[in-house]
Amino acid sequence: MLNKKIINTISKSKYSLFIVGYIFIYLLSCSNYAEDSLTNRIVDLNKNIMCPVCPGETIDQSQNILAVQMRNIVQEKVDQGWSDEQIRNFFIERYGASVISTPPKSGIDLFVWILPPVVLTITIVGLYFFLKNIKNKENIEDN
Amino acid sequence: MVETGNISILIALIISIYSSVISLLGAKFKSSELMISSRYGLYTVPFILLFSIVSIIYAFVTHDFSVQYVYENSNLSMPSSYTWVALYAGNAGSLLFITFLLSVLSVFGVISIRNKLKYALPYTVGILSILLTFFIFVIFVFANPFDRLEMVPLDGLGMNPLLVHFGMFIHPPVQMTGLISVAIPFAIILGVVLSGKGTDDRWVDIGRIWGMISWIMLTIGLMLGSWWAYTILGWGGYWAWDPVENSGLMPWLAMTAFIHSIMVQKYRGMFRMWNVILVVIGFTLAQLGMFINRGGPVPSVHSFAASTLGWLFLFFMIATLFLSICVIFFFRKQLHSDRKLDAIISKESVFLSQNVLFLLIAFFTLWGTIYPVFSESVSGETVTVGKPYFDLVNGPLFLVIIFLMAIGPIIPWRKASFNQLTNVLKLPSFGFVICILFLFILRIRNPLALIGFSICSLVIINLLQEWIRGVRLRHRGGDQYIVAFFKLLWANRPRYGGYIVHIGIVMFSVGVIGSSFYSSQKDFSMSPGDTNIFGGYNFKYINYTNEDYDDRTESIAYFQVESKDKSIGVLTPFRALYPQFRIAATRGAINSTPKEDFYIVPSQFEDDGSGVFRVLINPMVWWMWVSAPVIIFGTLFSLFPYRRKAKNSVQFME
Repeated sequence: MLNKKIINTISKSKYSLFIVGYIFIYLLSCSNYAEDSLTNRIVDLNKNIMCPVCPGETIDQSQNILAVQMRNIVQEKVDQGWSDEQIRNFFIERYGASVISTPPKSGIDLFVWILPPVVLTITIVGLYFFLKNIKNKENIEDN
Repeated sequence: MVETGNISILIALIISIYSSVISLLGAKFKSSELMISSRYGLYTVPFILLFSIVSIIYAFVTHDFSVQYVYENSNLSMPSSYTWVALYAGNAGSLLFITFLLSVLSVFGVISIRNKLKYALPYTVGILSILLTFFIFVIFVFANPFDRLEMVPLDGLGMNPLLVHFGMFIHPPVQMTGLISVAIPFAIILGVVLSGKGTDDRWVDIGRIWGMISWIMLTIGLMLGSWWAYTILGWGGYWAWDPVENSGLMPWLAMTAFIHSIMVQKYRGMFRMWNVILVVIGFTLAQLGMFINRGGPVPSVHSFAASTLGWLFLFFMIATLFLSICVIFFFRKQLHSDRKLDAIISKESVFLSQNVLFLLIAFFTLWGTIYPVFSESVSGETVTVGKPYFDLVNGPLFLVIIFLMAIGPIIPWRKASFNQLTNVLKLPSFGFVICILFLFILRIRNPLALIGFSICSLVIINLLQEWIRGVRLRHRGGDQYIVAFFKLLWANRPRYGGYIVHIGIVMFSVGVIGSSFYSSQKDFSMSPGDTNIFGGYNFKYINYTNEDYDDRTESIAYFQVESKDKSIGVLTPFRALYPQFRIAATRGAINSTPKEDFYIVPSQFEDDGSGVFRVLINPMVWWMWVSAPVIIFGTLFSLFPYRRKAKNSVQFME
C-alpha cells in the first residue's frame, strides 16, 4: 500500500522531473560514448590472456620473457587483421583453456557463469518475501 | 639462542594445552580457581613466544645459516634492515609470527572482557587456548622454523626479491594481524553464547570494538597490499582478483557486514542471531585465507608461504565451522531478537540488504576462487577465473552497496513515514541532478562510470545534508556554527565516525572508478635520447645507469617529464635483475596528482639502455591512497570511548 502511495505521489510531484531529468542527461551522456581504437584492443586482449608460466598473472601484468613474446604475438596478429576470437583460439590451441582469464561460456563451465545470477535472484526474492512477511504479520497484529 | 626458541615453543604448547583443558574443566565444575589458573596460563603464552620470535630474528640478523629457515629466506648480500623482518618471508616463520600475534591479541581480548563479561571468560579463554594450541602444534610438528641443517652453508638462498620493498615492513604484519584478529570477536561472542547469556546484550559494545579493530586492520592491510602491487609489480594495477587477494578480501567483506549489523543490535536490539552468524562466517573466511595462502590448490602470484600445510588448515576450518554451527543451533533460543523489523523502508532493512549484498560478494568471490579446483575435478580440464569474471559479477553489487551507503544515513530507524521521506529526499535529488549535469560537462560518457560517480556524489550530498541539519539544530540552540559542528560529531561518535569512514570509502571508490574506466596505457620502444608523447605528457629518455650489487644489478632509467605547460622533473623507473632467483623486479616511477598518475615502468631493458617502457595514465588513483588516513581517522573517532555515564543509559539517538 505504501508503495502505491509513493508511486502515485512521485508521478504527480516534482520528483518525476528529477528522475526524467536524470534519465535524459544519462542517456544523452551515454549516447555519444565510443571507445574503440587498435591499442585498446591489444591491451584488452593482453589483459585477458594468462601467462602460462607465471601463476595468476596475465601477459599484460607479467615481466616474464614468455609473456613479452606472447604480447608481441598478439600485436602481430592484430596487425595481420585477426579477430579477437581467432587470436584467443590460437593461444587456447597451444596452452589449453586456462590461458584465457575467464572460463569458456560452454559445457560444464557454463555453471560458473550461471550460479551468480541464479543466487542473486533467489536472494532478492527471498529478501522480498522475508520483508513482506514481516509487514503482513504486523498488519495482523494491528488489526 | 636457537635452542631457546625451540624450547619456548614447546613450553608455549604445553601451557596452551593446559589452559584449554583447565578452562573447560573450570567452566564445567564452576571452579573459579581453575578459571583463574587457565587465564593466567593464557597470559604467559605471548611472553614465552616472544623468546622464540627474538631468537629467530637473532638468527637472521647474525646470519646463522645452520637454521634451515634462515638459510632459505635470507643471505649475506640482502639489505641488513630486511633481516629484521625476514622471519615472516616464508611459511614457518610467518606461522610463528601469526601465532605470536594471536597470543598477544588473546591477552588483550581476555582483559577487555575480564570485568564486563565475566560469565563468558572460561569459554572465551578455552576457545582462544584451543586455537593457540592448534597453531603452536602445527609449528612444533610440521613447520618448525628452528629446524637445523646438518651442514652449515656459507650463504643463504635469500629473500624473494619481490618482498624487498618498503611495504615488507608494514603490509604483512598488518594483514596478518587483521586476519588473525577476527579470532577475538569470534571467541568473545561464541564464549558469551556458550555461557548461556546470549540474551544479555552487554557483549554488543565489546564485540563491536573488536569487530572494528579487525576491520580497520584488514582495511589497512588490503590497501597497503594494493599500494605495494601498484608500485612494484610494474603493471600499473592495484588489484587483480588473485586468489590470495581474494582470501584477504572475503573476511573483510564479512567483517564490514558485521560492524554494520552490530549497530542495529546496539540501537534496536535486533539481528542478534545474525551477528553471531556473521562473526562465524568472518572467522571461517579468515581461516580459509590461511588455507589458500599456505599451499592451497589455486595458482597465485603470492606463493611466498607455499607449503603442504594448507590441508591441515582446511581441516581445522571445517572443524571450527561445524562446532560453531552446533553451538548456534543448540543455543538458538537465546539468540532470538526482542524486536522485529517494523517496515520495509527503514534503516534496519537498509542494513539488512547491505549485509546480504556483502555476503553475496564474498560468496561469489569464494565461488570464483575455488571454481578452478572444482572444474578440474569434474571435467579434468583446468580453467582460469580471473579479473574480468570478478569485475562483471561483483562490480554491479559494489555499486548497489554504494547506493545503499547514500540512502542509509538519511532513512530513519523503525518506520519512515512518507512525509519524512519526501523531506529528506528533497535536497539530495536536487543535488544529484546538479552533479549529473556537472559530470556531463566534464565529459564523463562511460555509462557505468557515470552511474558510479553520480552515486558517489549522492553519498556526499546526503552526508552533507545530515551534517547541515544537525549543525543548524544546534546553532538554534545557541552554538556557533563551527562549535556546533564539532559538538554534533562528538555527541554521537559511532555514527559520525562511521560517516567519516564513508567519505573515505567514497574517495576510494572514485579512485577505483576513475582508474578502471579511464586508464590508458601504451608500450614505447625507446633508446636514450628519444622523446615521446602520451596523454598530454612529454617524456624524454635522458640516459641510464647500471649499478651492480652483490645480489642484483639495477638498471635505472632517467626520464625528463613535462606535462602540458609545466615541468615535472626527472622520474627514475628501474629494473633490478636478481640472477640467483631469475627474477626481474621492476619499479614504476609515478608522478601522482589528484587528477591522474603518470606511471612509467620498464618492461624490457637491453644492455645498451634501449628498452620497452610502458606508460600509463591512471586517473584519480591518488584518491585511493589519500582515503586511507580518512578511513583510519573515522574508525578511531567512532571507537573513542564514552564516559561511564553513557554506558548504562539508553543510547543517544537522533
